[in-house]
Amino acid sequence: MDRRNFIKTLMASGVLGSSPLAAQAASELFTPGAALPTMIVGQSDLPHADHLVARLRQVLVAAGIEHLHAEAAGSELVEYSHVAALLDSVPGKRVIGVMDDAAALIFQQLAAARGAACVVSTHHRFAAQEVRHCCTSAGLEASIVWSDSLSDHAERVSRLYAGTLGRPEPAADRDARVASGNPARGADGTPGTPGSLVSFLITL
Amino acid sequence: MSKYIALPKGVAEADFDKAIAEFKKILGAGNVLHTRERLAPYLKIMIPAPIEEHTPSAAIMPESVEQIQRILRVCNRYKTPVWPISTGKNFGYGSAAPATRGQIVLDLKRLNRIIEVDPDLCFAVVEPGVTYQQLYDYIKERNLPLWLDPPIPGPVASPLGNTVERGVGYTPYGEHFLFSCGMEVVLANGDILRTGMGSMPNSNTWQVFKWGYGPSLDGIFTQSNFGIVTKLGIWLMPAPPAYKPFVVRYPDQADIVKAIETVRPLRIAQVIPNAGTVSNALWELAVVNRRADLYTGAGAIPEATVAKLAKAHGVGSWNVYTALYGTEETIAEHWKIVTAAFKASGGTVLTQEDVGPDDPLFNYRRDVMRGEMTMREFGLYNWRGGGGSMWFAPVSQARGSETMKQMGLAKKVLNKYGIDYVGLFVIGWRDMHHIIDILYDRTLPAEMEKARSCYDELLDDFAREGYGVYRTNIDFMDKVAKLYGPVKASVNHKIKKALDPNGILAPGKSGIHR
Repeated sequence: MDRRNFIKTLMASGVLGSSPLAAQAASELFTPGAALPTMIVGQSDLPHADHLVARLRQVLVAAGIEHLHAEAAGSELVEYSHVAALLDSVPGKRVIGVMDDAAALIFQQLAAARGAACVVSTHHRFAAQEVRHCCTSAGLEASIVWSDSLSDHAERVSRLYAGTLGRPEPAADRDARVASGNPARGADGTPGTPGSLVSFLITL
Repeated sequence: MSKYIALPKGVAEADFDKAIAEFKKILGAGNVLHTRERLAPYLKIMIPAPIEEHTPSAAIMPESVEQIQRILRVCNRYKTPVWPISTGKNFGYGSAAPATRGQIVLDLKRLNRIIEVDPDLCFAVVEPGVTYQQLYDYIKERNLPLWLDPPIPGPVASPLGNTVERGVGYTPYGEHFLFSCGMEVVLANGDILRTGMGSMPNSNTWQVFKWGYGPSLDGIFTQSNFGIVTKLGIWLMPAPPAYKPFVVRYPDQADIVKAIETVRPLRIAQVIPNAGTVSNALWELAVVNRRADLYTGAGAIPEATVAKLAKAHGVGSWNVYTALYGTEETIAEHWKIVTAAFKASGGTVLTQEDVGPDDPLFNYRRDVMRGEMTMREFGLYNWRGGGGSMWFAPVSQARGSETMKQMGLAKKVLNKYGIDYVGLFVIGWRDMHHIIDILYDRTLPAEMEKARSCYDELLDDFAREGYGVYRTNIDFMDKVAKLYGPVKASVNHKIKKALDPNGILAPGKSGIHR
């Protein structure tokens, strides 16, 4: 089974509960404080990030995973004081970040200095027709790489994070939302443009 | 199948088990990490090398020198090598990963005490785990009139770690090792050496006079594996009464010659006292833009396109960022000298008033040249995206003709591999650190291979012309050591054998093995 099929199988069958990602989730996520809301930090001036955060929030709501949402501009996410303040405001132990490469590196490093562990980190490469994802996890020996069409890339990634948090979105909700489509293509500055993005889940 | 994700070369698993058990006794189980999940932070690298070649077997986190001594006794007993790191932020050079597979990362982040800050003699004594941000906060909280000199990763990096790697910053104290004074070093046999005046019992001159008596030893503990530096004295710059940063923009690529010929005499004479920078247009653009937003063609961005982009974005082909420090009166006099010199060379001299309050590039340089904590230059990592970065850093004479030659050499190789020349020169007193960020998408195996081959070829082409790098990443340490010749390698080897006969300290560091 190639990696693309592997991840598809994971996502489609809801077997994340037995995957290495979920094993990691079990060891890192369900610790004291894990019951508190997950915090999503999105980069507000990056359309790809906006789009993924919006879908992610829908999926987490559907899965019954309580969360809070914070936004910051790219220029704020490279400032120590701003990132430190964001980390101070995390109510529980879990943070999902969706931001550019520079911001993600800084955020993860400042969090790591506080003892945070990175559970999942995914690079998303946007091209004209598709999005290529490269996912690494503390529980996996090698990265998982797969591609999605522009129209449904946020769907699968959102379910990856929901699944890693332990409660995949119910299939009926998922299918309904896939069928409804989403605004993945557009003019310049919308998610249809080339670019790069990082999403990650860390535990503090 | 081993229960460890890697084992040190030549060490049996049973012996490694015993070593781990002893480390746990010394440090507590929570400070001995050996599962893949817990070792994840030490596996994240930005260079184009397979992590399998640099996977550590474990990470251990002492909090005192006494614990380090006990750890080294265990290492000598079981021949288990350790790879010391301070905070492990050696981005683009290998981060926290060891030079060879199976080494135990000796993570010194818990040794994070600021031992002393002397506001009169302007020095600090720090342990490896102290970050620039920590020291900055300490100084600010006490309202001490002192400046730091952070490198690019600033807040998260360690002053001790950066200094022993011979890193640079951008204030007048930019050459970090030059402005260090006095080390405490734990040797492989557990002995504690204090360099310089520190070897004198009851000395209070350890941080004020470098040389002590007899051979000066500090240098052999930088970029080396002869000992573990556990304390370092660093000189701090007294905050000047006045500060005037400025940028000089030059329109053409060939203007690098004029820029360097103008800045060198001013720097040597200390009219311009700081380690300013001369950055090319793509460096400027890359800090605040994504490449895909500016150019989507194949290969390296053509020079004509770079020129158009530079003009459109208001940056020079070359951009000299530097500053004057002193009193209002001395700065006024020096300002007349530097503006006359740069204008005569064809540059456009701009101050904060000229660029306005919101120019992110100017503001970033303004901040780092006065020792403020900022990470804006991490914006380089958005240029390509994908988490790949590797620094190629040859040293050049501070001559226009030499920088021109190095630029040509670099571009030839980079263009062959379709990689943009994102380059900058750090202005030393008589040298230039030519810093090229090889930015690539680390999630694509083909890009990894290209970046690795490109670096390899750069090393060869530069070496043929007599140029060497001042620092390299964990994947090329052996090669660079060879380029510096057999006699130096032999001397290093003899010192290693004498100080660390079991080869337990960072084998492979700077190409020095047991």
